[in-house]
Amino acid sequence: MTFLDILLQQSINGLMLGIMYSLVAVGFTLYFGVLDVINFAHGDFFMLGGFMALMLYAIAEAVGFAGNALVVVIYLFIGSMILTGVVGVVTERVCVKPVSKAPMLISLLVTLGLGIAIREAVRVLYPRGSDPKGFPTLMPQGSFNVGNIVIRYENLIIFGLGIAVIMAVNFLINRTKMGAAIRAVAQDGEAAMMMGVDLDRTIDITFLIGSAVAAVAGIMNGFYYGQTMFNIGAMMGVIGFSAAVIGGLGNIYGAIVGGILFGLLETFAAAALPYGAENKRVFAFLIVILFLVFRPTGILGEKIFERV
Amino acid sequence: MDDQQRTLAGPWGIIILLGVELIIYVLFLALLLVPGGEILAAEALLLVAAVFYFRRNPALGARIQQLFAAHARIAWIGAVVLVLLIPFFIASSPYWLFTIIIAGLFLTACLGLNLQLGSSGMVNLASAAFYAVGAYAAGLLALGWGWPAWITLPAGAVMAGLFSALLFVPVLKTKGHYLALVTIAFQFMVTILLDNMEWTGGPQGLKNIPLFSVAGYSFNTAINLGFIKLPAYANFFYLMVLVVAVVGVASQRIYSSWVGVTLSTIRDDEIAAQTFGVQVNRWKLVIFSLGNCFIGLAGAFYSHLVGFISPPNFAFDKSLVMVSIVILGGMDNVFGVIVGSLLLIILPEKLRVVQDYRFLIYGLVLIIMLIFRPRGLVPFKARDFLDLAGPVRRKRAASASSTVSEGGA
Repeated sequence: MTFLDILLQQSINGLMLGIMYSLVAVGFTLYFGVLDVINFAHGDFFMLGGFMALMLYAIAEAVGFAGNALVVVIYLFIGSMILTGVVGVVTERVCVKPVSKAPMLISLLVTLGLGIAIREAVRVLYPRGSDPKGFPTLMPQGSFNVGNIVIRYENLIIFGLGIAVIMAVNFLINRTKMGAAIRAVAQDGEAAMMMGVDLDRTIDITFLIGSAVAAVAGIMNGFYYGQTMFNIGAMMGVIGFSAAVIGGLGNIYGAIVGGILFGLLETFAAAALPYGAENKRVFAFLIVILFLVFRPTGILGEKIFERV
Repeated sequence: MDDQQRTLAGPWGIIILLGVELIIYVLFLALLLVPGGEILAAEALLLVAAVFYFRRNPALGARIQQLFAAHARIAWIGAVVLVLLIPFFIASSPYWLFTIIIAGLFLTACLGLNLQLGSSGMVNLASAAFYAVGAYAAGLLALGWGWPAWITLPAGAVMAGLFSALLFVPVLKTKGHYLALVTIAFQFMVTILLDNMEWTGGPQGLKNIPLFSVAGYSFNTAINLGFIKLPAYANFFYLMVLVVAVVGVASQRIYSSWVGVTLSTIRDDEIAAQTFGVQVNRWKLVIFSLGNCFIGLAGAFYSHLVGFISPPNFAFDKSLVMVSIVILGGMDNVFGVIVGSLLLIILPEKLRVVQDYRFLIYGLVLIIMLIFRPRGLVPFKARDFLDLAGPVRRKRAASASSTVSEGGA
């Protein structure tokens, strides 16, 4: 393999991961927009999405509904998105919104506590929840070559799906009336209310979208790695938040760019640096810290001046 | 001064005061010594009942507070004696003695975290990372160069303080959510590196770190007093009490000095503090390092207490526990941190009766507590400058304020 081949191969791997991270980062950005909170439990919704899909798959197997793989996959995605979205809205109502006006430390700790609660609920309630859970192979296996670059069918499908979901979210936020309401609330909640936007409903819808999108990422992650585990959410939460910040918190395109950048950073660090494979995230987080210090508003964020 | 207050100042007041301390003490010991979850449920009910009672009769609570304020020295002596007697009462269960020592270490670390988080408003979610720096520094120095524990203990603290320099620039340039993210990222970096580096033992960590011993006396020997035999942990317990006393007194002195006031201004309004000539950046760095020193000290102690450390001991969830101790106990408040660390370290151990569900309960309790009592169990009070200034100035201030109010009217 030539250098160019390696570069391309790693770029493709990085993009795969990046799309997944983007989907999680979008939630952070949306929540920060409408409620001004960072939902540190968001990574656990990513994990929850994967487990919801596993549960739905087990139910489908139990009742003997396992025909066309395509139908099953669609059923898993839609079902998990709805269930995870509902959990997202319920938790938002019960514990995220009540603390959104509290000092930042309180909202931080409440959402971290929510993350623990979700993680532990999954571990305790899911049968043998402490073990890694294998994902069913529903996607076509095998791969094809473009030059020297290997592309697996499964990854291609996941990638396409991720792009589709991102485009759908973009459409929802930027082209529909509901999205206009979300953007209005993000700019100024009170002004939006005066214009007749139902604040509570908009917040609910935002959390429904955010959690459902995180669920998609969770299922993608399950298919990509072939397994999932109850404790993957914490790390993914930090990655998603980092990606949102790199891109520019509050900006949807920023979240997408940030997610892809984080994915690329990780894969290139793993491939290029000595001891890179095990320390790839150390490198990625280092870049995140540098970003926060030298460009805290991110790539696409606007410069903010503090007023006295 | 009315009649009631006069009786409180006399010997009866002292007896009532010691009685209150004794009741709390007995309830605490009973919680540890009585097996099973019923005692926990009973005491929780009692606590809720007491809270409601004091809500309805605020005068009674205020009088007890007055009592403690009037006899502060006797209250302190009583409390210290009771604490020192703990090993005698729970000599039969070394496990609980060990848990109390761990709570003491968390208390030490959280007093440091409280300086950063509570006093000056700097979010630090990497406390477990600095705990790890202290622990690994002590362990490596003891294993590699054979340094005795009474040197590695301060060495661990200093090392954690030096490592703070890695975050100096982010601490000054970011705040709020962004500083939270920086510290979380740092925490994950440290855990991953500890897992991957060979000279820290990788995932196996460090084994056979020598336990404390001073001048040939190993702390791992039981204390035989003739009439009672204290488990070996009693040695560590008394050392822990000493460490906590030093760190606690230091924290309290910082709080009540002009440094504490400076930190409060930084926390409440950085820009205003700067315009009034407070050296915001300098104090932020000093307190960030000092807080991490305390955390590192606790880590070094831990290393010599258990003799075996590995990366999972210092993962992100430990940071979370420390932050929740400070916030649940009450920020910028030494007493609150004491209550917080006792509750959050000892309760989960007590909850072992519910085995699998205890972290779930922990998460839920955290959420419920913060939604209903966001300012902590022992909410911090606004500083009472008149009280700080001593009786003479207090009188002068009182007359000054009365003239001001007359002038205003």
